[in-house]
Amino acid sequence: MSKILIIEDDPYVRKLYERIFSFQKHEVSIAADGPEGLELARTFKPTIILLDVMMPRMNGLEVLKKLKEDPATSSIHVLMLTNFGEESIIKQAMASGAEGVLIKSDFPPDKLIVEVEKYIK
Amino acid sequence: MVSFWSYWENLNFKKAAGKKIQENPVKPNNELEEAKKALASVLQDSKRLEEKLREERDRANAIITFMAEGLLVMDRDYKIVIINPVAEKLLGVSASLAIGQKWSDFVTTYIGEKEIPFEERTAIKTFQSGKTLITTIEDNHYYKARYGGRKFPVASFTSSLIDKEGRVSGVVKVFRDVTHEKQEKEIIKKTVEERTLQVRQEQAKLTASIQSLPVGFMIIDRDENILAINAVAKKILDLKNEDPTSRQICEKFTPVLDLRKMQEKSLADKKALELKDIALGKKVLRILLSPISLSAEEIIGSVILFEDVTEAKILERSKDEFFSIASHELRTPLTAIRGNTALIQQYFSDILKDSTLKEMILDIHDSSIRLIQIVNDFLNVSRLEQGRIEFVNEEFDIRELVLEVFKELEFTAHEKNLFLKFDSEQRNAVKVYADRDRTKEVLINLIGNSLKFTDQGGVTVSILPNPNFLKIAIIDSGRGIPVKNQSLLFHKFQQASEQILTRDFTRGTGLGLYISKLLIEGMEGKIWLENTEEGKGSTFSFTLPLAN
Repeated sequence: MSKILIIEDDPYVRKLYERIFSFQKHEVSIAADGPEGLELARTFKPTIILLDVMMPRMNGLEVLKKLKEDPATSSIHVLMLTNFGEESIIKQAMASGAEGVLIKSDFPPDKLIVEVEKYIK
Repeated sequence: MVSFWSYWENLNFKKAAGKKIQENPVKPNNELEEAKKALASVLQDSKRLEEKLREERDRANAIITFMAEGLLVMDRDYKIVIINPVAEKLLGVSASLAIGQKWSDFVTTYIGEKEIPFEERTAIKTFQSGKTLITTIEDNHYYKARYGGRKFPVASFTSSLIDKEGRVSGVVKVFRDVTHEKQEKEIIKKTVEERTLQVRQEQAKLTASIQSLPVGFMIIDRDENILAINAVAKKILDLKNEDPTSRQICEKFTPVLDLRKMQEKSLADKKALELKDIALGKKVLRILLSPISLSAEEIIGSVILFEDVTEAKILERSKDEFFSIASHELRTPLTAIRGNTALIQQYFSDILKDSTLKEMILDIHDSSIRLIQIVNDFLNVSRLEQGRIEFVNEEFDIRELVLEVFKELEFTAHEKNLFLKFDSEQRNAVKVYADRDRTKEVLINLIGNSLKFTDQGGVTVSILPNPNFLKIAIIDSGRGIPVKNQSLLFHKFQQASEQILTRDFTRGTGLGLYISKLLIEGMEGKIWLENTEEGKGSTFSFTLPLAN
């Protein structure tokens, strides 16, 4: 059992991810935006964060930068999830220390589990 | 006719000679002898002189008689004393009638329709001033003999005769009939007028056309003078003054573009030159430079078209943005639909007792996948067309990739009881230089299509390395493609018939082959339908560069 933090503004996708990993018996925490997510990253101390790119108030790339800047959270694996598959975004995310950038619609539950398990085993 | 020289002799020489002889009195005896000798000498000289004079006279007579112009000589009373045959003919009178007549009484002179008053007549003016007067065809002078003959246009030369005291003793007039020249001139004038009118009409048409063009239009000669420019061009280029110079226009584009250099290039290449997406302030322009040639060698300038494509660019950009945002917005709820239906099937299948309910959830799940693929196709096309997809080219073994694709499509083939065969004489790795993921996408599309349209037999993939590239052929034993649909393959939305519409495997957009084409071309390859026969099958081929 691992701790997984989901930072995602879309409630349906957020609930889906929560279900996927809860069914896998992981401990899941959820945040609806960046500031909330940053707070939980420090307090909940997850092994991996699933981080959405396009969010109101603070976008995923900014959240990623802050996570990597803070020594308390910099070692947490971050997997970016987006449906906005621009190559520039992918490059930026990788350069900022994300483990990977996944297109949400191309990763159904089974494939997403495979990806996440690479970092929690 | 009275000859000019006989008149001249009468007037001067004979009188003078007579006087001289008379003024010398006869001297006596030896003086007489001397005087005789002197007289003989004088007589001899005089004889020689007379002979010479006769020769000159004959020559002059001949000239006067046979010259092409009319000639008249008048005395100090303006009476005609000499008239040559041409003048007789032109004036329609005989010499016998003309001689002794006053020139002004005998012939009326006109400028155009208006009679010239006595004191204005050239002969009178020459006589009074002693000056030579010349009238040309341009002066519009006419002669008409009072006693008959016709009125005709003349060009004349009027000169004075001076006696030994230096006084004007007469007037010589040489003239010719310029009817023919005048007619020719009239014809030329008329032709020039007609041509001028034609040119002006053509010019008016051209100007109207140029002014009504919806694009900016400009003609510039080789010396960079602007020969024509329409209002649209001035508006696009934001030119305030009436007659802009080429320098002003060139400066507008500095430093973005050296328009002069581009024009020179177009002239040198003798080819039209298209310049796209040229920024001019907030505007985006398309510029077309085209040489104007009279012949292959002679180029007289350029036509330059300016098109304001700002609106179109904004529209294109918003279309792209729309595609990106729309696909993002669509994919998010689709992710939830696909994910949740997958979870239901995985974790709740034991609860779902009803088979119809199970099937319904499966349908929702499959449809969501299909919809995601459609959105992905749209997005891919949009990105490929704009060149916004980067190809990560690398060396990889194409054999391995084909087998990997076979593995993915194995289930589909098995379901339809079709074979998937790899036909290669190559036992070793065949390395190509391309983007592995994109190549895989193309193989899945082509092999998937073949499986979809094959009911018996199967699909064979063969690879044929050439010196510089690799050819991959996908051969099926399927239905084949009707001739009428063949030309539509590889085009965007190739949904011209039901067969074509459903040709895409699991894709409903008709974009599969079009995307494959863009992908292969993006990797420096080619893709085509090698052959097809209805009821027998089709072969699609593509090429990729071989790794060095």
